[in-house]
Amino acid sequence: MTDRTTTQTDQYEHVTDDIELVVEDTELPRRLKEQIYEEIEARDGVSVKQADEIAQATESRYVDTRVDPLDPVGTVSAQSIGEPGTQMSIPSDERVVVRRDGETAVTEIGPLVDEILAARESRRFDGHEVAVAPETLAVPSLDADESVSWQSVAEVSRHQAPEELLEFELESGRTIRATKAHSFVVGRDGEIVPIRGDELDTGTELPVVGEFDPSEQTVDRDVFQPVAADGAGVTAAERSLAVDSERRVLTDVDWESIEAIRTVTTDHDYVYDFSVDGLETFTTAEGVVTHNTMNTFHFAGVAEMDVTQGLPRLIELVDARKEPDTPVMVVRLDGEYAKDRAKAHEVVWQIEATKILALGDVSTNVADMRVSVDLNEETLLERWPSFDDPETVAEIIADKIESVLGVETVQRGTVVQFGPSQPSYRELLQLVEQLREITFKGIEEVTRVVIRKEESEDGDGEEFVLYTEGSAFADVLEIEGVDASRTTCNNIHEIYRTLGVEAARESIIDETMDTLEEQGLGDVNVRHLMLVADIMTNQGTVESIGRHGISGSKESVLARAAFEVTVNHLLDAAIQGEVDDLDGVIENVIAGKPVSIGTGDVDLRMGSTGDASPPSADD
Amino acid sequence: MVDVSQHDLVPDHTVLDDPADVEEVLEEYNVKKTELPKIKRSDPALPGDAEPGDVVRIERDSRTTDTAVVYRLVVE
Repeated sequence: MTDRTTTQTDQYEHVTDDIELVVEDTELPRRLKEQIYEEIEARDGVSVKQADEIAQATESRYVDTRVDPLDPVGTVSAQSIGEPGTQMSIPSDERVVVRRDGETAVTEIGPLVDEILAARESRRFDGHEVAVAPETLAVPSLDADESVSWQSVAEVSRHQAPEELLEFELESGRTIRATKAHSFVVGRDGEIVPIRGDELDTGTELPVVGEFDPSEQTVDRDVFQPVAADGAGVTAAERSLAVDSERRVLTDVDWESIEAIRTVTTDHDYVYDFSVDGLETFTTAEGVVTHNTMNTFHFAGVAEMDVTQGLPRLIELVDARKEPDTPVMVVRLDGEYAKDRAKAHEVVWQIEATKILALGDVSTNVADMRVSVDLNEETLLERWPSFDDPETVAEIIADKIESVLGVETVQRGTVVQFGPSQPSYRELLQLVEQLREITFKGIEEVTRVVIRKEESEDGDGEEFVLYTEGSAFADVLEIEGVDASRTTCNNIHEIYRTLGVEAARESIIDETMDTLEEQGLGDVNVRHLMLVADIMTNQGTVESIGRHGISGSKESVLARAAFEVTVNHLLDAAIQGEVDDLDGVIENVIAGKPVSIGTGDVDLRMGSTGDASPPSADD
Repeated sequence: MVDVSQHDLVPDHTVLDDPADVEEVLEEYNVKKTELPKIKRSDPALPGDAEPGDVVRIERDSRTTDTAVVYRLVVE
C-alpha cells in the first residue's frame, strides 16, 4: 500500500482509513471504488467489516463479468472462411455496400479491410491474412428465399492479388471484378447455389439489387435502409445480436444475365474478401450480389477455440490423463437438426449451460435486502422453445432458485425476487454469488457451444456441427437431435467409459495423429501410433505409458529401476529376494547381452550332420 | 439408452461360443488364453452374454488394410 491512499478519500467524511484500506486493496477500477465510497458516504458510514463485505462482493462480481478482448459472449454462429489457396476474392478498389455502426456506406473494400487488419489481431492462414470483423459491420446478404437483408460480417481477409482477374458486365451495364476462383451465386433449379467465377458464362444470371444508374455507377442508396417489420428503428448493437432471429428484409432480388466477360489486371497488391453468415453473400456498390469464400477452416470464425495442441497435448495423451486441459466435444446432428439452423439451436440450448446472467439482469437492493432478477422474455422463449408463455418459464426458474438456494421467491411476471432469511449483508451477497453459479438449463460442464457449418461427409451439401468447450459425452449422446454415431470428444477416458476399450484405442490413434498433423508432422507412419495405442489398451483399460501404467508394471526389476525411482525398486527387490529373468530389452542392454529381438530372437548352433558330402540344393 | 455398437469408433464384437474356435485362435498365435489382449466384462461394447473367460472376436476397419481381426479375453 502506498501513501497516496490516505489522501484520496479525504472528501468523504464517513470513509475512515481502515475502510479505505479495505476498498483500495481490491482489484476494482477507480470508478467502482469511487462508487463504493459514495455509497458509504450516503449511508453515513458503515463498519469496517461491512465495508469489507461490500468490497469483496463487488470485486468478485466485477471479476466474473470481465471478458477478455475478442472473446465472444454467448452462443455465436461461427462462419467458415477461406478455402486455402483458392484465392477467391475481389480487388481492392471494388466498392461494396456496408453498414457500420448504424450508417450505410459505400466504400472500397481494400482500404476497409486494410484498416480492420491493422487495428485488430490478424492471423495468417495459408497465404491469407484474416481478422475478426467488428460486430457492427454488416452487409446486404442474399437469403435462400431470394430476399436481401442485413447480415453481420464474421471475418475479413486479404491475400496477394493474382496476375489475372475476370470482369463481368451485366445487362444493365453493372460490372464486377473478381479472381477466377471467386464464387458467385446463381439460381439453379429453383435453388441458390455458389459457383466459381471462371465457370460463369454469358447468359448466366446473377442476382442484383436495386435500380442501377449507369451514369452514377451506383445503386440508389435508399434501397439499403433497413425496413423493420414494425417500422421501428434498430440500433447497431441490437442488430448485431439479433441478426439471426430477426431479418430486416430490404428488398427482393433481381436477376440479370451476363453480357460480357473480360480478363483484366489490377494495380493493387491485394485482393479482399468478407466472410458472412447465412448464404454467405455480400453486395457491391453496383448492386451485384457476390458469394464469400467457401467452407471449412480449422476453428476459424468469430469464436476461436483454444485447444491444447502440440507437445503438451501429446503428453496428455501418452500419460492417459484423466481430464484434458481443454475438453472439447464435436457434436454432429441428425436429420433435419443438421440442416435447419433453428433446430440446431434447439440442441445448443439443451447442451450449453445456461446461467442466470444470460437470462436477465440481476440487481441487488442492499437497503431492502432483496435480490431482483429481471428476466428477458425473448431469451426465455428462445431457450425454452417448447413454451409459449415467458411467465411459465420464469416460474421454472423461480422454482429452481428456491430449491438450490433454499429461499422463498416472489414472482411478478418475469421478475423474480428473493432475499436472505436474516438481514445480513454477508448472506445477501453470498446468495447473489450462489445465484450466479446455478445452471438453469443444459449440461453444467459445457461452458460454451459454437455452431459451424461444414461440408457434409457424404458430400451431400452442408451440415451444422457443434463444437463445445467442456465435455459431457455420455449425456450428450442421449439428447434428441444428436447423431450418436458420429459425435466424439477429445477425452480418452470418457470415450473408454462410454464406448469401450476398442473405441478408446481408435480415439488415441486419431487424437495423436491430429496433434502431429497440426504441427506439420503428419508424415509419421500411423503404425507407430497404432502400436502405442495397442499397448496402452492391451489390458482392457487405458493405461499410461509411465511408471503408473505400463512401464511400472513390468516384471523386470532392472527395467523399472532404469526407468524412474531407481533406488526404491532396487531396495524393495533386494528385500523380497526378487529374481530378474533378463528376458526383456532393457535388462539385457544393462547386462551387455544380445537382446531377444531381431537377430537375437534366434539361437544359432553350428554343428556337423555326419554326412561326408554337404546337402544339395534339392534336399 | 444409446446403442453403443452403432458408433463410428466401435467395431463389431462377437463372442466365440465354440471352444474349438477358441482353440484354433490360440494355436494360430501360439499363446495361452491368459496371454491374449484383454477386455473388461463391464466394457460397453461387449454383447450382453459375454462372461469372464470368453474370447471375443473383434473386426475393425483398419487404416492399413481393409479389415483387421483381433481377439480379446474377457476378464473380471
